Amino acid sequence: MQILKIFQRSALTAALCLAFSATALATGALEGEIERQPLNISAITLFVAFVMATLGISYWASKHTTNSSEFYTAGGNITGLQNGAAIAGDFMSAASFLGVSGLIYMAGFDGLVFGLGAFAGWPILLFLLSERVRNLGKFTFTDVVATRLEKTRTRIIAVCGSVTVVVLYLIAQMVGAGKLIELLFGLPYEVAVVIVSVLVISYVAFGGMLATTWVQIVKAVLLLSGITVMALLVLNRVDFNLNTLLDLATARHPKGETILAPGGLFSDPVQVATILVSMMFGTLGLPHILMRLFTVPNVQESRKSAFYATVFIGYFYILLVIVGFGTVVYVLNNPEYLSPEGGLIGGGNMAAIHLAEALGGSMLMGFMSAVAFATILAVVAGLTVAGAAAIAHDLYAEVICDGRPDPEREIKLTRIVTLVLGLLAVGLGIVFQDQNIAIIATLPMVVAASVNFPVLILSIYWQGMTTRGATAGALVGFVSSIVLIVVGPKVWTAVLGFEQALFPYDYPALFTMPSAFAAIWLFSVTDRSARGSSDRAEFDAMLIKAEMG
Amino acid sequence: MTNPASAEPFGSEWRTRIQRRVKIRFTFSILVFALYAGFAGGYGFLKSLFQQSVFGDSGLSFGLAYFFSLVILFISLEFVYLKLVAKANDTKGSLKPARHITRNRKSTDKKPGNLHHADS
Repeated sequence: MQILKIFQRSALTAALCLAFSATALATGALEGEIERQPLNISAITLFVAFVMATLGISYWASKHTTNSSEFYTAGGNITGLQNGAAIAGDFMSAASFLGVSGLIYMAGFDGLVFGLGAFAGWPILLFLLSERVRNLGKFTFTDVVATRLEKTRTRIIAVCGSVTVVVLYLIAQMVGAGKLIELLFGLPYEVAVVIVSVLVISYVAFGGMLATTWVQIVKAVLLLSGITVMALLVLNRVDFNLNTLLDLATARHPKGETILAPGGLFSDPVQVATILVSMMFGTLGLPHILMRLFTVPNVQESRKSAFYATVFIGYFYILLVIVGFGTVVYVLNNPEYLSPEGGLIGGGNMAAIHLAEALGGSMLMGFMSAVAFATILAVVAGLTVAGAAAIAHDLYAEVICDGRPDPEREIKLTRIVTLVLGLLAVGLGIVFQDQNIAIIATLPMVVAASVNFPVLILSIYWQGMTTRGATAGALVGFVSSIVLIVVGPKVWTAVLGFEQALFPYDYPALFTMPSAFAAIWLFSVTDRSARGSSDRAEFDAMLIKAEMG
Repeated sequence: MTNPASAEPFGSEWRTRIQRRVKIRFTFSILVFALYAGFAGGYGFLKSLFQQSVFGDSGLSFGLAYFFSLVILFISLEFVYLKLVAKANDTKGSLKPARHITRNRKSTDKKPGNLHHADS
């Protein structure tokens, strides 16, 4: 009965706290008191080895990073396969690994909602965005939006969208990183935040996108290798019979057979739809993901990037299901991993780490912990490059210098912005450490889905969109996202203490994104200005470039 | 609202090819959306189906099988899309407008990779 109560409480907490991005999954699940683990020597040793290797990569990359093109997009010399691995490395966070497996451990099937949501945006990225975005942009998605619309206004709104998403994502990552490292390594929160920031500044400031790409590739390889080993070890114990694994899981889980079907965490299909929409379209509006499309030499490689990323991420989530049910079989009810109160030591997020120890001893546990830490570095590095590009390229070079910046000053500014972002990340990480991370983590995906995505997709596919429409749509998307999150359960009831939320869903993108689309349409079709006519007239010229490169 | 002067350089063949490309992109995207929506349906009108076992008494529920199938289907759709695009480029020639269009385009571009002439 006590275990059942713990599960019910955990599920409720997860439902309220888990945000829907991969980041959010970890950060949200890291809500509340973190039980610091004893100092994990094998994990720290392996992590130091990773850091040495990646610093070596940064040193090498710094020799090849001398201008803005090399800094922002690695000179466009990354192959499709490499870029696909880097995208996967950028996206498969510690959160995906620990958060989703923790959710499956707690609630079974419903954990897959987050896994599928994180995966489903990738095919759309290939079909709708990979070609036109690659052909139209130079360094950032803002370049794409500004191709045919009025440059200054469009860039400013796109930069606002990018910077908002990057900073919020960064805060969520840093707070999540601090708590996760405290959990995994036994290091104090502040030390963890400073370590992450110093390493990321080193990678990005010196090695730019080239170093970031290789850090993400190394991390992707390590994470995929680790999860493959874990899944194989789980399957080996059940003679590679998935049915046996699932039967054992239902036999050991207090919720029994219900863990194999929907309903463990969510009963309302609209709630599930809100999560799925927010995650899918949020992914398509993330500036650090879109930026990766410019690191390849041509549109063919851009398509391949999206395809390989889907393969890697899909492979990861399939194995994660096996690992998730493995935690139910080999960690749940295992007295070695239970606290005297009956809960899992370290909380639900530690399920996969405990499973690693149960399967492969302290060596595998140390390896997976080190991989989780490396994962955070890779994601934060990608965000930092995107933030630096938004400010130094989009704002300084294209708006302030009207597209004719002094190259040396631009690259110098980029490095300064990287340093500032790194310091800001430490500051914000410490300031927000006691805040509800789930709220912070919810915002970037909803903003990305409601601001960046509608403006981007309509700018390349709808001739009728004008600058006025784009500005209005971005504004409506942004304001409605913030308002609906504030009046939703995460803020209205959990933070402000009201009894019932005015808006019943945690993830408002299902409503805010259509609002942004509607605003773009309305303000564009009613736009009779000369600028509006010019925006429409430019569409055909844009189409040639979008389709031909 | 298309400016006739701007639209003029586009031959009908070129337009048709672009429309075909866009049609393929949106057809594939709609397929993905429909399959994805089916998963949300597992919490509503498909709930009882998602709870059933795929094979008799096996642990594999229809919901789990749907999840695995979606991952594989999405990857397969991407693969087919890549093949279709590659085939279209190989057999029908790459998407290039008539020579006078590219000449026109070059003359209107202020610098490589930039089409901001309307902003000035």
